[in-house]
Amino acid sequence: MPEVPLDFIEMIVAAFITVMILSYVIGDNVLFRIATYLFIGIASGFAGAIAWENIVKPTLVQPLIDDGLIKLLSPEGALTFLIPWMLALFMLFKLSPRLSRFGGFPVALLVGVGAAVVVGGSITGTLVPQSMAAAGMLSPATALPTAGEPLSIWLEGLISALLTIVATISVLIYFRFSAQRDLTGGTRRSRIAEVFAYLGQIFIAVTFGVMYAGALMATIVVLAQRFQFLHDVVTRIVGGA
Amino acid sequence: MKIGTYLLWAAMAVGTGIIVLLGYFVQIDQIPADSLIGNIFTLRLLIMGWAVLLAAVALGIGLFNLFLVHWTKVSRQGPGWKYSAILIVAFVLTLLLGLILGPDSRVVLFLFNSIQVPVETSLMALLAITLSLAGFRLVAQRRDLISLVFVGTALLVLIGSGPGILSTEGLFFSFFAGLRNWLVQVAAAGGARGILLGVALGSIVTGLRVLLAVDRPYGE
Repeated sequence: MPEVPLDFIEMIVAAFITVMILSYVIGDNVLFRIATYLFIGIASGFAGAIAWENIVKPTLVQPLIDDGLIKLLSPEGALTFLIPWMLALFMLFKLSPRLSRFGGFPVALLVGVGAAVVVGGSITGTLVPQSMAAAGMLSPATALPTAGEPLSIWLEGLISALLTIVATISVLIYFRFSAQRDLTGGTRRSRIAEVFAYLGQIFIAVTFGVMYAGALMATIVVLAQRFQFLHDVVTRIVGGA
Repeated sequence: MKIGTYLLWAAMAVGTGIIVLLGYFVQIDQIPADSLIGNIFTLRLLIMGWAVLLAAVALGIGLFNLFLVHWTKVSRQGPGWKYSAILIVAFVLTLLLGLILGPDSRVVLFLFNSIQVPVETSLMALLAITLSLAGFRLVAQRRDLISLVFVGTALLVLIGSGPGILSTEGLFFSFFAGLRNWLVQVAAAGGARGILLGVALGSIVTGLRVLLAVDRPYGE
C-alpha cells in the first residue's frame, strides 16, 4: 500500500473545511457550525499553548527548574520571580466569585499599564504624526510653488491640500459632541459648526466608501484564491498526483 | 477595609500607569542607569514584563471559562451541545499537543495549517458575499444623501480600480482611475485622518480618566 504524504492529507482536510465554511452561502447549516466550533477550539488551544510556551513557562516555571527555590531568596529574584508568581496567583482568584475581589490588585496593574500604553501610543503614534502631517501640507516648503513648477500643477496640489485639511477639520467637528445648552434644556451648536459637522459626515461616508471598496476587492481576491485552491485539489485527486 | 483596598488598587493603577507613560516622553538613553530616574525606567521594564505575564494569565482564565461554559452545556445536553463537544475535543487536543510537543511541532502545525488557516481565509472569502449583500441592502433600505455618497464612492473606486468592469485602456478608464486616485488620496485621506485623530483623542481621554482614577474598571 503506497504511503500517503502528510501534506496531501493536510490539503484534503483544508479542502473539506473550505467547503464547509463556504456552504454558509446557502444559509446557516450543520457543516458551517461544525467548522466554526472546530476553529474556535483549535484557535483557543493554540493561543493557550503559545501563551504558555512563550510567556508563562519562561517567566514562572523555567527559572524554578534552572535555579530552584534559592532564586526566590535573592533580591533580584523577588522582582523577576516572586512578584510575578504572586501576581499570577492573585489573578487566579478571579476564577472564584467568592475570592474574585482579591484579583483586583493584578487587574489594577494590568489596567494601569494598558491605559498608559493606550495614551502614550495614541499621542506618539497617531496624534503627533497625523497633526504634523496635516500641518505640513500647508507649510511654505510644500504650499508655495517651486521654481519651474507649472501653475496648474501647483494650484491642483494646493486645492487638494486645502480640501484634505477641510475634510480632517470637518470630521473632527462632527466628532465634537459638546454643545451649548439652551433655555429649554435642549442642546444647540452654532450654525457654522452644524454645517461643518454635516460636511464631516459626508467626508466620513466617502472614507468608509473607499474602505468598503478596498475590503470588497481584497475579499473577492481571497474568494477567488479559495476556489482556485479547491480546483487544484480536485485536479490533483483526479490526476492521481 | 473596602476604602483601603480601593485606594491600594487605584494607587497601583495610577503609579504603574504613570511610570509606563513617562517612558514614552523621556529619552531613556540620555539618563544614567544608576540615577533615580534610571532606576524608575528599569522598574518600568519590569512592570511591562509583569503586565505581559498577567495578560497571558488572563488569557488562561478566559480559556478556562470557555471550557467551563461548553462543558456545562455538554453535561446538561442543552441546545447545540454536540457543537460544544466538538469545541471541547478540539480545544483540549490542541492545547495538550501544544503543551507536550510545543506549538511549533509538526502535529500542531498540521492542525493549524489544515483547519485554522483554511477557516480564517474562507471566512474572509465569505465576507465578499456578505459585504456585497450589505451594500445592496443599504441601497434598498436607506436612500439618504449619506448612503448615496457612501455607495457612489464605493462604486467609483471599484470602477476606477479595474481591470474587470472597464478596459484598462482609453479615456473613459483613465478618467475613472484619476477620479479614484483623487477620492483615495484627497477626500478619503482627509476623512481618515480626521477619524484617526478623533479615535486618538477619545483613547487619550479614556486612558487619562483611568490614570487619574476617575474610571476604575478594576472593581469597587
